[in-house]
Amino acid sequence: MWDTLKRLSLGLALIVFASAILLLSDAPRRTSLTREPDHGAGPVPLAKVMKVALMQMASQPIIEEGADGVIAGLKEAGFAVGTAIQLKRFNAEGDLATVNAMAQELTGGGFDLVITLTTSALQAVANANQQRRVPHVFGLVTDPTQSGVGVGSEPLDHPAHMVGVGTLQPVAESLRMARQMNPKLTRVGVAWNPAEVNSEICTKLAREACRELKLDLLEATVENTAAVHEAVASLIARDVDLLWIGGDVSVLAAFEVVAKAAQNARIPVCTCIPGNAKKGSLFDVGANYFEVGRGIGHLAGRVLSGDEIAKLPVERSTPPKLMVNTLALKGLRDAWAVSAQVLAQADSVIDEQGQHDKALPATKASIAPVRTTNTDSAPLSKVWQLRLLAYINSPDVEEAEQGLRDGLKNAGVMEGRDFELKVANAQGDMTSLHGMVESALADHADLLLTISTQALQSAVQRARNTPIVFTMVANPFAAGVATTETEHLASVTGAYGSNDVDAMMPIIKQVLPNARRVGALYAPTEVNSVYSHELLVKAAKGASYELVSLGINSPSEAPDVTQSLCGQQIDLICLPNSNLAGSSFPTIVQSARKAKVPVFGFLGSMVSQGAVVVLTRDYHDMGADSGQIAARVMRGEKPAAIPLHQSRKNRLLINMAATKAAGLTIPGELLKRADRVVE
Amino acid sequence: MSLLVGSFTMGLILSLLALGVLVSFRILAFRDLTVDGSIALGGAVAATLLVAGWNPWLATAAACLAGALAGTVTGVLATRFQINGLLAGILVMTALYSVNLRVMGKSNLPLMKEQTIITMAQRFAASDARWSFSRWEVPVQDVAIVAMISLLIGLVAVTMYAFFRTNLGLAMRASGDNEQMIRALGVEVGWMTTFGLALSNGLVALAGALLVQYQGFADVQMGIGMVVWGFASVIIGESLVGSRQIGLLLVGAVMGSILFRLLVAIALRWGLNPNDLKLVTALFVFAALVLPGAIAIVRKHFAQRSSPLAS
Repeated sequence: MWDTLKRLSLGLALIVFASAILLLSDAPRRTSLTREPDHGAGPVPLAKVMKVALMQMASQPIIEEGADGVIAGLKEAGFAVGTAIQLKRFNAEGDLATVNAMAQELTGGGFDLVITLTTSALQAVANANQQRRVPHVFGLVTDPTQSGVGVGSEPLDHPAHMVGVGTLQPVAESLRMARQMNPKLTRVGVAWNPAEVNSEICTKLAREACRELKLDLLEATVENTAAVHEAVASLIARDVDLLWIGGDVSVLAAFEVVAKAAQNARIPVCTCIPGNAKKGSLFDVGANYFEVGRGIGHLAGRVLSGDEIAKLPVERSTPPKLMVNTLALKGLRDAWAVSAQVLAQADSVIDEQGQHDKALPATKASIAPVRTTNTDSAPLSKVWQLRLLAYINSPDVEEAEQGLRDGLKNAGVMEGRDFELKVANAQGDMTSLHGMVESALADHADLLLTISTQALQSAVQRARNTPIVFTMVANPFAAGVATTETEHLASVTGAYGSNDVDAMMPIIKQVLPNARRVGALYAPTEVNSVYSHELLVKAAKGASYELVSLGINSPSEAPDVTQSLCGQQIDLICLPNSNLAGSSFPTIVQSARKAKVPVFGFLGSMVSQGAVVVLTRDYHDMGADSGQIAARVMRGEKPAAIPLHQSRKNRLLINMAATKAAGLTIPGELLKRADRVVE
Repeated sequence: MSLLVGSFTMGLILSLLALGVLVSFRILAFRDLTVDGSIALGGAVAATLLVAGWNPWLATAAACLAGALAGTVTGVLATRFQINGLLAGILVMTALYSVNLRVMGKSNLPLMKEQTIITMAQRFAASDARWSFSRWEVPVQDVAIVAMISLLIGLVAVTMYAFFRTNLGLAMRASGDNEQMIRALGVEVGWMTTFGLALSNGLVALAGALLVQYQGFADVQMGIGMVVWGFASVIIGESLVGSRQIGLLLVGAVMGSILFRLLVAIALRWGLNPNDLKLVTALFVFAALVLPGAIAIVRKHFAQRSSPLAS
């Protein structure tokens, strides 16, 4: 007995010793733990240095990029590492047992906030945090709902102590883009590792997208990086036209192998993770993980400044990043082509001259109607810092931006001499829009220019004293910045104009004299769209059309809703403006074409995508109006004294191919009126 | 303090893995790599059944049986088909990867709302109750969990101790120690090995089942690299107790596992550079292996100096 105890003594002593070390390391923490309840539930005073933990699952380029983004985002939100907060980083290096120990450590009470990157880290911390309620912000999670931590599908349906950002890879977009580059594309090959949750979700999405695009998806599974070569070889042997890679970490780790095999087979590779274009993929469409990280950082900043977590939404955002490598086009078996439009969209392009970031500012031989030029205007007393904020990137937005520049120029203020203009585009991502406004303000902007309602609203929410001049807003009254043209928020003014549904009615009558029933799709969740739709209801009534309207809530609903709309004996679809209709227009028009229903729209970009007739506001004109207003502000007028300006100029665009496909003819006089006819 | 309790819990759960490895590695002298697969199998089976609404104890028992089945397959491959033991283990481990994916239907299965052994333990205490030991506070629920797990591990260890003292257990130990001798005594070594591997992987799967319930999700990759920590715990434990007596070996393996998790926790608590974590844990294992030897040398030294005086 004594001998047994003696033999066990060393081990027991070591355990006691290790425990003691651990307890002593915890000594400073125990006092803070007992004192904490006295604080009550009030917001944490900002004066003290907050302790924030940042935990990641492994060391991978995209996770590191996300982590850098988080730190940048925290700084922008006013929580610079080292001064306002003390940041401690944890990395489990892929070991699950360590993840759990870290989760215990993080939730033990020493931190004011825990930030986790990746799904496994989220799950481990969420589990360890079940009772202790350390505030928790998560990110780099493909689908928070599926990770089973209690986050529902509604933005506010989440536990009261955790919130975060979900980022889905733009799978369907990448396949659609591939289809665009090679219309004859039929067989897509994918190698993926079934053990990766993210990869599994991506592959499922790819299956859906391929079904929709009528592509064959050939799959080969791999277990680890070493198996990639064979998997890819097997796909090539099955005669695929393209190798596609979703978010699969194992396959991406062996990207060089994939690129080499594809090169030998003379087929291209495309991925959903930006950065591989440098290594030989034709293009990458993916989330910009730095931007995702910044969004997480901003969210964390709001939690740190005392916002109630239960009221913060779990956002799902994928700030896109497009990289194109035109060198990869060489020697391909099939006819692949990168259109100028794609090149213009790309965040970086690789060609013979090397890599060009943030694409060539498209050669715009713009259609600027020359306005009252007074170039002899005196220079301003100071150089104004202008920040142009746009929500989404589209041809219309580019026109508006060009219009703004022309308007400023025509009003006699010169870039460089009188002002410096920096442009930021959120690429359709709400979270980065907020960040853009914050960083513009931190940069001491003197005047904010906004394009689109979202950009305006976001700027108004954050910028209290900085003047704002907006453009490309359909209805500033519904957006809450004005009650009439002269009564508006003191620091806000600009030019607006919605889709001219009244002018559309006679055009419909000319093209389709016998039409009775008009179908409409609108987005009930968008202020803009509801307003435009109301206008359409009135206009249709005035023109004695019967209007059949259906709401659409997400891009994935678009094909089904369009089909059911077409099934209701409508003669045409008239599409009031909404961001949703704009972004899912290709699927809408495809379903409509199958039912031989022509589409009439109000967005310039729709005409090249298959709308029969588009009656768009001239956004260049509207931009120019706003530019003139901005110049007035810079010359010293108070924004409050400048009434809002309604832009009334329209542009009529007609697509002849779509017209023929729908079996219609356009009367000659309408053709003569058209500003642009697409063949 | 909750970090301390947490690492104890983790160490105790993973000590089942160490006990499993002890059976195959030390008692049967069989280097069994099935472990990486069977710990994930245990987790997968338990998680799937819990989601399907099974009683947690039944689900855990089923996971244990599934692990035993995997061990049996390795045993049959090794003894009936004469496949090298290492290779047999690798084969089954590889196959289990697909099996686990099949069992769960996807690669990651969360268990946040399901009733588990852990939530049953938690119910013994109020959700916000805390115990304070001279101002080191710990949630009572965490203590309840560690108590429940200790009880379970204690039960398993005592059962194993009793088993290895029965005729069957002795025969199993003998077939690892001296195969020819035990064969001469009329024992079927092949079946004995197979049975031992079933027992070993059953224990490992039990560890997986408990781990899944403790961490709240099952992941198909959770087994990767586990066998190494199993070996490390067994060897650390053995060098700590410095004996190959069965009871001491069992306790040693549990102690080794706990000590190992404690060291990882200290490394974390001291906030070392995350990139260095694996290196530091490897150094810990090294230190734990060398330390007992060093102590023995020091002891001998003192014993030599003191012996002349004694005589």
